[in-house]
Amino acid sequence: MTLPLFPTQEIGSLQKPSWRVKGLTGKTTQNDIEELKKWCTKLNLQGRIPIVVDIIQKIKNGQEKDKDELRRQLKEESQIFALGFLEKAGLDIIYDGEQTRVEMYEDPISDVDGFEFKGLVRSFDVMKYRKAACIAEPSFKLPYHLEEFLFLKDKTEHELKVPITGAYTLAEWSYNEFYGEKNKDFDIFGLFGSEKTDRREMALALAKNVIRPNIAALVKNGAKWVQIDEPAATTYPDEVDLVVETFNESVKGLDVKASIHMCFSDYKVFFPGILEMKNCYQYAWEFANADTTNLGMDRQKRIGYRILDLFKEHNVPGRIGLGVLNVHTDFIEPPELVRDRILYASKVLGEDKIYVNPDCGLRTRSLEVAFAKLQSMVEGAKLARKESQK
Amino acid sequence: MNVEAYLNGIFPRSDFALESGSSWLKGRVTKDDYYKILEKETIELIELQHNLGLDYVTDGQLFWDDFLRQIAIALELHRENSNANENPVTRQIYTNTFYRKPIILNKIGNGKEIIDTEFINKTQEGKRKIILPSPFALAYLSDGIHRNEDGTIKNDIFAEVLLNIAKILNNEIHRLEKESKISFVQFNEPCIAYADEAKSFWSIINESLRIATKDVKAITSLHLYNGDVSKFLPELLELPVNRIGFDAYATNIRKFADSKKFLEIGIINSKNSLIEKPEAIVKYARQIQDTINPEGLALVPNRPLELVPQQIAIKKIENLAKAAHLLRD
Repeated sequence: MTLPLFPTQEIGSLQKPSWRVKGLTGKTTQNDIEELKKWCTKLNLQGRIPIVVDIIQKIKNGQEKDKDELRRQLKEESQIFALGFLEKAGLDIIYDGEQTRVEMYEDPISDVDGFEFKGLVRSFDVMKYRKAACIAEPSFKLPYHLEEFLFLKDKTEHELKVPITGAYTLAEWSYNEFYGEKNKDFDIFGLFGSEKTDRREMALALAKNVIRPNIAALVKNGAKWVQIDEPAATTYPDEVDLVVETFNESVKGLDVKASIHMCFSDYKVFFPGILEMKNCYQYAWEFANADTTNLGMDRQKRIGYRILDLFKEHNVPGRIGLGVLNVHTDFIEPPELVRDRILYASKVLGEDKIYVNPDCGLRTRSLEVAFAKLQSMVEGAKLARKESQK
Repeated sequence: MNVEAYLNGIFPRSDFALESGSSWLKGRVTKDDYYKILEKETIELIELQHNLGLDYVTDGQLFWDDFLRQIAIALELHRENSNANENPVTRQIYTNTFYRKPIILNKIGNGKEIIDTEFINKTQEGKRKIILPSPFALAYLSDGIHRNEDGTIKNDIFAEVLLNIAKILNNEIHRLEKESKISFVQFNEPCIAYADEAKSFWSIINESLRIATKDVKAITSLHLYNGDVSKFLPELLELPVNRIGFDAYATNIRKFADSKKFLEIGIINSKNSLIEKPEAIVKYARQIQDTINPEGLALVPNRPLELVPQQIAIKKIENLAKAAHLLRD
């Protein structure tokens, strides 16, 4: 599939449909089934309706011993649904909205040896995640994204981009009960600086022992593009070198298009460290969150995109994944606003550098809102192309 | 040795409260039901602090969605036709938690109540402690008139905003002293440690704290985290607050030797699930006493405990309290 100018892409998660969430525990209501019918009709997936209803009924009424297989099938239906959702919205580069994953941290950590879950913590507002502690050296247990990729790879003509949570983020979001702890020996002066040293060891072990083998398994089975998600990348401004090192370690020796997604960060700290990343195809960043919603291409209107100046100034070799949708509001960005954001970025960086995407995964938005936003993004990209070709 | 112990920031909501928050977001429970859970947990936390014998008691700020939010709401620090709960989501440096960046569009209005005193008033008089962001933190973590288009600071306007905030905080503290008889005011300061501009703004920072604490009778403290603050010595100890706090994991404590200041040392690590043993805490305190010999000593979390699950936070403060008792005995 040939990509157009300003290709549109998804960035990660989509909300899981209610029939999938409740269906897994046999608690669907008639409303959930109606929702299924409404969306499948909208997405031209009518053929899936009886299949999904049948699985849901069997989970409700069947015997416990058969339920694991049925749940697996229901998750696959959810993958088909998400693919159809993104195709219908008109995106060029897609995946499955992470329908088989619990969440971007809990899901992979569950499949890595050396971690133990400790409980929930808040990330912002009322959002939360389950956090684990590293209790032994992290090691590879299984290629945790392979099954979902194998299921998807023959089901679409579109280019697939597989998101995988990066080593630095997994390390930074975990507690450390293993590295360095044995040496502290109740010495208060030994505490100073110890966390940084310990985190470095954990992150590099994750990159080498866990992320690289996972990407290798995907590549061996046909994956062409992996997006390493590092939302924690700028947590410690003085650890950009470690983010870069873990990225390089994670893809070392692998023949794959590798990109990185970061969000809600102070991107300034990435310069010039970012230049040490080897063969990073694309940097997908969040911008719309800090932008105004006014139309126009002057700098005041496009205040959320001012960091692009640094990208240009340092002549970063990769492309930019331009966040044009704020994933934290239900506001549907009009196509004209998306157009102006794209054209502004194109003016700064050059049009061949720009891919277009939401700021981050859309899982916190309802399917209705996510769909409307994505459609608007696609329309905005079309308007930008038109404008650009004048 | 009299060593004090107390909390210093947002306390974590329980797993149940966090799940309820998600359910509220999805429309499965009402805001009232969700808030009742937070009320219950706030009361339980106050009781816990009293029962453990902590020297000062906070309400845990369980209703605060981030450490600037109540202030941004009260002072209407947001864009036009918006509200503070819609401000841009922004990372709190050194953590995987985020805050909504306040937007300062004009001179901040005065005379508005910031802190809800319902729960503070339920704590024992003489132990009532409130926590506010420092004036510098609020100004530095906000966007608006005091920043240029590229995000850099407009020096003159920044100073004006900073002093304006200090005055507002001072008014609020006086209100709380009068209406709620608070005994302790802590300013949380997550920015000075890493902000490139902090040194050049030092005299304004000093002035802002002088204004914020003017005629305040309660004990005042500035708790700094997110980096090594020993680089600001000796000026740090001259700031017009009674106590200076910092993170023992990030700050070189040795440089505080012979400080003639009451120090709050953050030795309970809110970024790790390991529970500090009472005997370790006791040993830490004795090391400080022997080598640093501050004018007074409080043992505290290195930063707000919201970064660990509630059940872990509770175990941490139980051990902190045990250690404080051992030290007193």
